This record gives sequence, structure tokens and C-alpha cells, in this order.
Amino acid sequence: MPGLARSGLLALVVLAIVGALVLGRSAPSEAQSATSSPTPAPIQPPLATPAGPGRLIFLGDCAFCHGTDAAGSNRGPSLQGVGDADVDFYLSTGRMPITDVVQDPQRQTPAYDPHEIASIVSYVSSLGAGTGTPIPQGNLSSARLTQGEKLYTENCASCHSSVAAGGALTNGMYAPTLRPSTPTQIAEAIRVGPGTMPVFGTDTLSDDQVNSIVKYVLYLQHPEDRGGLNLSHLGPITEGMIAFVVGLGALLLFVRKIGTVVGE
Amino acid sequence: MRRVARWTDDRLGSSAFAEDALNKVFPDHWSFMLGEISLYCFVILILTGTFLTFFFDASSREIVYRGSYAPLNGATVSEAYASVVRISFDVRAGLVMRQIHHWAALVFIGAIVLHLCRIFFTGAFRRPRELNWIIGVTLLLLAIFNGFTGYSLPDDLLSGTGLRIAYSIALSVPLIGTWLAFLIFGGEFPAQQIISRLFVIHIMLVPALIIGLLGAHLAILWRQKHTQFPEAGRTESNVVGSKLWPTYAAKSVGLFCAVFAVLGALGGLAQINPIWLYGPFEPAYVASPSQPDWFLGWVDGALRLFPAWEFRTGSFMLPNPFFPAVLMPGITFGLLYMWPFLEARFTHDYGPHELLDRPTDRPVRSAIGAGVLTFYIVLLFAASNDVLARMFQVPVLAMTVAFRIALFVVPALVAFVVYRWFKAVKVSGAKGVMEVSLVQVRHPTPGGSHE
Amino acid sequence: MSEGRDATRLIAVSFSVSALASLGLLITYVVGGQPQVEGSLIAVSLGSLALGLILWAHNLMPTGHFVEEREPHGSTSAERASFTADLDRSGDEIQRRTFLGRILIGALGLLGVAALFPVRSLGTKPGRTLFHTSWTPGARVVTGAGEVVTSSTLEVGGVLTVFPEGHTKAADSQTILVRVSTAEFTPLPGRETWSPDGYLAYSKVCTHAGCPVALYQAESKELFCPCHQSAFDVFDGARPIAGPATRPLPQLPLAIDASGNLTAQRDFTQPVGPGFWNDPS
Repeated sequence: MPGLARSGLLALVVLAIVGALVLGRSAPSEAQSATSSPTPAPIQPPLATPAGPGRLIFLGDCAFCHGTDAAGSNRGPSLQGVGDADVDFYLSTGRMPITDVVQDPQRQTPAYDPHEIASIVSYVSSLGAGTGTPIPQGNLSSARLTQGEKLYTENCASCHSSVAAGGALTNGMYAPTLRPSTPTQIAEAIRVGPGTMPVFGTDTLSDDQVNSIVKYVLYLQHPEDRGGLNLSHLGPITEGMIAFVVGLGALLLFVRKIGTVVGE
Repeated sequence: MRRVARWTDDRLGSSAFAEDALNKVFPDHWSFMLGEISLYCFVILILTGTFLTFFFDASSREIVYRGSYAPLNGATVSEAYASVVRISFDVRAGLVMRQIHHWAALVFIGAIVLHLCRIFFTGAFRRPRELNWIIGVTLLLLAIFNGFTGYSLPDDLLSGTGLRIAYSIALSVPLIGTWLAFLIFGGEFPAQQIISRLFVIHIMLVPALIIGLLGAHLAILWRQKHTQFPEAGRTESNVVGSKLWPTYAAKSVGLFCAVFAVLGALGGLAQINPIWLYGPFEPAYVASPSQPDWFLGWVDGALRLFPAWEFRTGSFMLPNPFFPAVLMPGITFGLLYMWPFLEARFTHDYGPHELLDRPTDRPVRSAIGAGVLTFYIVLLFAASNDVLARMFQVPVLAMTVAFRIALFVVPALVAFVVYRWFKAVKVSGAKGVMEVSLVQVRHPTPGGSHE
Repeated sequence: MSEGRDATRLIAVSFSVSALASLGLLITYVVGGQPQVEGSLIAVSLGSLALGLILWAHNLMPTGHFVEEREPHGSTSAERASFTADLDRSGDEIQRRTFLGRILIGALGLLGVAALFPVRSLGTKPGRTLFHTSWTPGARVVTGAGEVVTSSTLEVGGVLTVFPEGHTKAADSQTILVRVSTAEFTPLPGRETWSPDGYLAYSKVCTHAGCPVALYQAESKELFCPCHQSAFDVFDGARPIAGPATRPLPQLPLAIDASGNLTAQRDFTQPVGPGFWNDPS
């Protein structure tokens, strides 16, 4: 039955192609195992330039909601004394300036370049002193991946998922994915607790512990997927779907070919 | 081969039986091979599972993991968890065996469900095959149970959460709940003995039961001969198809190879249960999202959808999880077991049947089956309500409410549509489900499909 | 017959491909193994075997339309009569002695019940175990790593999982500690002394099915359980406000001792976690 032979050979060819693709995909990650990953970029302090465009940008883009003196209005909270980390986080992740007035602004392309952001941060800082968090600086070379795995699982995984993919919260909000986050942003978010995220101060998690968490999150951005295609790391949900659609689907096609139908 | 046959016959007198066996006729319809798919999945589970037992350490004792997976190097984990990480990274062929084993489990239970549906919709459970139906439903129950014990063995964060829920479900049983939970687990959660107990259950007790019942299932099938669809040349007193030797045997072995091939492809190319990313189980921590494997999704969905109802008197309580997780599954399997007898009673048809029904021949049964199946499919999807809520950017609560509505509306709708559609096919005498028009569905007339 | 030769050639090719793939598997294993290669080669090896066998069955073996007659399922009435007669005759001695029969059944029954009793060895008696945790009056609050929690450990909006000192592995004692603003929060009546300096502690074991209620939303002051989506209002005694949970998370009464360490005033006032038959909550 040439038709059967054709479909059989086709199936094998498809399999070979898929196998090669998956192999091609996973091979780099095999070489780049966690033990030999390049040293991650250190958490950078901002480029501090007091006399920059910060003041003008603030007055033009931010003051409408946050007040000309950053004391807040009925459209936006006060920024006096919130700390550089807070301002830098929101600006560098593009959450601010807000484009869509929602409860929990999401990450977007930043509206300003790093130089402008540094200048705005500097300007806001000059508008009011407070107990706000400075931008974390840290050296990740001494951070410990294993400690990071433990701390991440205990403090972060419940909202952001085991693989930093994010997850649902109540009231239509969700903890975002950490895939696009830079080391500085991760550390800032931990210290600042933006939006509905809790705050982890220096007495809750030491700088060392934060660095370890950052190192682990960076690892999760390219995790060890030794088993093959990671199916979006959604766990049993996608695994069940693939078992039915691919596994049983292929086998149903097969028995349909080798068996008869009524009337044959 | 002739020499082996002669040798065996000299000692066992097997020639007569062997000749009957070789000439035994099996119908060739494709849907009769679904049970075989599950059988071969089981064989592969045993083969890969045996390999895994040589490397798995069924102990909750805490040790320091030292191996090639860096993020856990130096971490304090249970021996069970450490052994599975080692299988995945340091044992040659370990990961592919583990993954084939887990994919095989998912496909195994899926094939059983498809097979059950085929038996149901064609009425193959009717006399004299009620016993085989009962055995089959029991096999499904055992397969689900073994799947659960299996994925709980690695003692990782995700499956440990599932064990905690199972403990709470046991606790919720009236009167005996606390004793049930304490005896099964060995004490207050998380008792140290649970992993080693699950291991014994998973590799010895349940497989032994499955093998025994499977043997009976096949022996009964062999003795009663397979059913077949009514077509030219097929009657209530014959079987038409291929002979076991060589044709049916060759196709069957071919099917086994195909099952192994598909599972091999999945096992090597599609990552499943990456427990090294989930981390070891710690009772005070959990990651989100948190789902069981698909074959328990219907119970988890029920736990999410069932409203916050509970009965309390001040000294006694009927806890909330009892209704979705004990009562509902109990009713499910109770009805499944009872179905052949219920249908015989309702149709007043107690006679034997060797010829199958086309699903369209029995609109009522098919509608009920389709509706009920849809009910469990909705529950299954409800288990991922938080993930779906995020995907569609709606609040989780709204998704839950939507599923609650869907749980009753969609099965009723499906049952209605199937009933009207199949009735039209049956009455109009159409050859297939697609050969009936909407007009005929509205007003079925005999012979209508020929107009 | 050329069709038969074509089929034969195809079958031979399939089997050869299978053999090659198996050889590949051997080599892969020897050089150290690799999951994707192993899986693909298993698939090719067995897939081509399957193809070869099916081609053989379909093209070269006798197919379909053999007929076998069914025998009636039940035995003939003669066989049944003979069986019944045999059963009656040989069982006559047993059937006559109803008294002995009854005592035998009694003995076997008791033996069966006695045989069940080793099941009791499987676990400890529930007793009052579920009614209390390892929290005792004055117990210091510590983190999972055993570090003592002081009044400065958390900032407002902070969250930590804590345990009683010396019991960091006690699953039932897991507690979620948050810090809220004393200006915004009004304690429930009778709990005014339970939350010093804005520190609030609730049992982390969900009262629905026991998962850790780990998601803390600092803005809306909600604790959210990831398993079945129960939500609890931190400002209202962790009362369930969504999802299938029916009872609030028990609150741990806190105090701050002279050295500034957080301590528990006493154990939770209700059993923690999911309900059970004689749960008085």
C-alpha cells in the first residue's frame, strides 16, 4: 500500500526535522550550562548628572500627575523621598510615564534613554529627602546560585512562578514575568515593592541575599531545559495537551491507517 | 520455530490450543485498537519504570545534593528528590527514560479514556460483557491512582503540594477522615513515611493489581470474542476479520512499535516535569501556578469551582473539600460501574449483544455520554482557571464564575445538539453524521437523506 | 507480483533504517548520551520497525474477511445440570452441617477482623494533634533559617514566612508575617494587643485544602492561595473573601519582648488548616 508507505516515510522525515530543530535549539543551552554561564553584568549605579534634562522632562511629563514639586495630586502619588530605586525602576521598565491609566501599569519600552532617566532620578531626589531606597549596587560574582534558588523559591516563586514567568493575582492583576528584567531592575523591585508587590528591606533580606536572588533570576531567563522543548514551562497543563494532541493524535492517525472503517 | 513448537507440545500438549489461537479471528476496525494502545503504554511503563527503580531512592531523609545541576549543588533536599535530579542529569539515558515514563503515563490514561468512550458509545458493555466493563473501570481507577503516586515520588514542590491536598481530602471524610489521613500518611502532614509508602504502592501493589485485572480483561475478551459493527456478512453469531497469525499479530506488534516510537519522540524532544526547576518540596512554600497532571484535573477543577459551602454545627463539620473531591468522584465512578445495569433497566433490554451500535443508532445514550463527557472536560479546563485568566486578561474570579456557568450550560447544550443530530441521522437513514442537513435535524423524516 | 516486490523492498528499507537507528542509539550511549538524540533515535528505530511490519501485514499477509463462528456463551443445559448435580452431591456433607458451618464463618470472620488490625500500626492516633501547633506562649518568632525576627525586620508592606523558635520544620506551625501601617489598620475587637507595631501573623495553612497561602498583595492587603484561588482579607482577620475557603486563617497573637524580639502570646485559638470531622471552628 504505497499510500501507507508514503505517510510512514513522511512521518519519519518530519520527526527527523523536528528532532534536528530541537537539537539545534537545545545544543547551545547544553554548552551554556549553569556552571559555565558568563559572569552576569554587575548591578550598575546610575550615571549621576545633576545638571541634565531631568528637571525639564519632569515638569513636562510628570508634574501633571505628581505635582510640580513631586508632592502628589489627586492623579498621582507623592514622589518626595521615595528613593532613587523607585523612580529608576518605574522609568527604566517603562511603567512610567503612564500611557494607560490602569491600576497596575505593565512593563513597556522606556520613554527615555538611560542618561535622561538618571537625570530625572537625580532631579526627583533633589525635591525631597526621605527614607527611600537608593539604587542597589551589587557585585554578582560572589552571589551564590544555590542560595538564590532557595530564597527565590521561598519568597518569589509563589507569585512569579518557579520559572519567573509570572502569575495571576486577585482583582485582575498579575505578577509580571521576569524574563526581560535587568539585574538592577530585579534588585530595585525587591527593595521597592512596586505596585502590589511586598517590600523586602535590608533587614528582611541582606544585600548578599538579594544578589543571590538576582543571580538565580538571571539563570531562570535561560534555564536548563535538558529535556527538550520547554512547552512554555506551563507544567502539567501543556503536558496534558501535548499528550492528547500530539501523542494520542499521532497514534489515532496510525490506527486509522492500519485498521478498517465500517464498509471496508 | 517448528522445533520450539514441538518441544513445547511434548511437555504441555499445547498444539490444539495453539492452533485455535493462531486461527482466532479479530475484527479490524480502527477503533478496536484503542485498548491495545493503552496496553502497550502499560508495557512501556513497566520497562522504563523498572530502569528507574534501580536509581530512585524512596527516602525522605535529608541530604546535601552534590551533582552536576549547579543551582542545587549544596542544597539540602530529600534523598528521593536528589535521586531524581541525579537520574535527570547524571545517569546515562536517565532523563529520556524518566520522560518516556511520564509521557507514557499521560498517554496511557488518555488511551483508556478513549477506549472507554468507544465501548460506551457503541454499547459494547452490554451483556455478556458487563464484567469486562467493571474490570475496565477498575483499571481506569487504578491507572489514575498510580499516575498520582508516580508523579508524587520525586518529592518536588509541585507534587508535594498535591500530596498536601490529597491529605486534606482524606481529612474531609466524615467520621473516619482524621484516622484515614493519619494511617495512610503515617501521622500529621508531611509524615516521613509517605514517600517510601507511595513507592511500594506505585511499583508493586497497584501494578500487580493492574496486571491481574488486565489478564482477566484479556482472557474474557479472548473467551467471549470481540464485538463487531453490523455490516455485510456480520451477524450476532460470527466474527469477521483477520486471523491472529500472522496478520493480526504483525499489525499488533507494529502498533506496539508505533506507540513506543511516539513515546520515544515525546520522551526525548518534549520536556516533561522538570523537577529541578520546581525545587524540592518544603511544606511551608508553594509556587504558582499549581496544577495536577491532566488525569486529576477534573478533581482540581471541581475543588476550584465548588462554592464556599460547608456544614458546621459547632462540634462537628462536613468540610468543603468533601463535596467536590470525595462525593463527586464517588458518584462518578459509581455511575460508571452501574451504567450497564442502569441502561438494561431503562431500555428493558437484558439480552446479549454481539453486534455493536453505531453511536447514531442510540441518540439518547450518545447524548447522555456526550453531555457527561463535556462536564468532565469543563472541570478539567477549570483547573487552569488562573492561567487562562492571565492569558485572557480577566480577573481570576470572573474566570471562575464563567466556568461555573459553563459547567452546566455547555454539557446541556452538547447533549441537546448530539441528541437532535443523531436522531436525525438515525431517522433519516443517512449513512454518516455529515450526510444529514439542518432541515432534517429540525424535522427528521424516515428516508429523508435520500431527497 | 511487482507490487509485492516493491513492498518487499520498502519493508527491507524500513527494517534497515531501524537497524541503523539502533546502531546510532548504541553509539550515542557509548559517547555519553544526550536526551534529544536518544529520543529521536528511539522514535526512528521503532517507527521504521512499525512501518515495516504494517507494510508486511497489509501487502504480503492474508487480510480480512475470515469468518469464525461464535459459540453460545453459557454452557449447555446438560453441562449445567451435571455441574449442579456434582456440586450438590459433593457439597452435601458441608450443607448438612449448618451448625458447624456457622461456627466456621464466625471463626473466619473474627480472624479477618484481627488480620485488619495491623493497619493500625501504619500511623499515629490523630488524638488532639490537629488541635494545636508548636507555637507556645512566649515562643520567639524566627525565620525558616532560624534567625530571630525583631521589630525592625520587616518594613511596612513586607512579608515573611516564620516559625516558632526550634520548630522551623514544623509544617503545621508555618505562619505568614506581614507588617501594615498602624495608621491604616484597626484590629478586630478582642485582638487589639495581637498586632504590635503593625505586625500581623496568620497561619499560612489554607483552611480549604492545606496549601501554603503564600501570595501577599501588599496594596490590597490580601493573602491569596495559588491552589484553588481562595483570598483572605488581612485587615479583617484573614476572613475569606473569594474562592472555596470557608473559614478565616487563624491569627497568631504577637507580642514584642524587652529586647525587641517578636514573640507569640500563645498558640492559635483554633485548629489551623483544612477542616475535619470534629473540628470545632
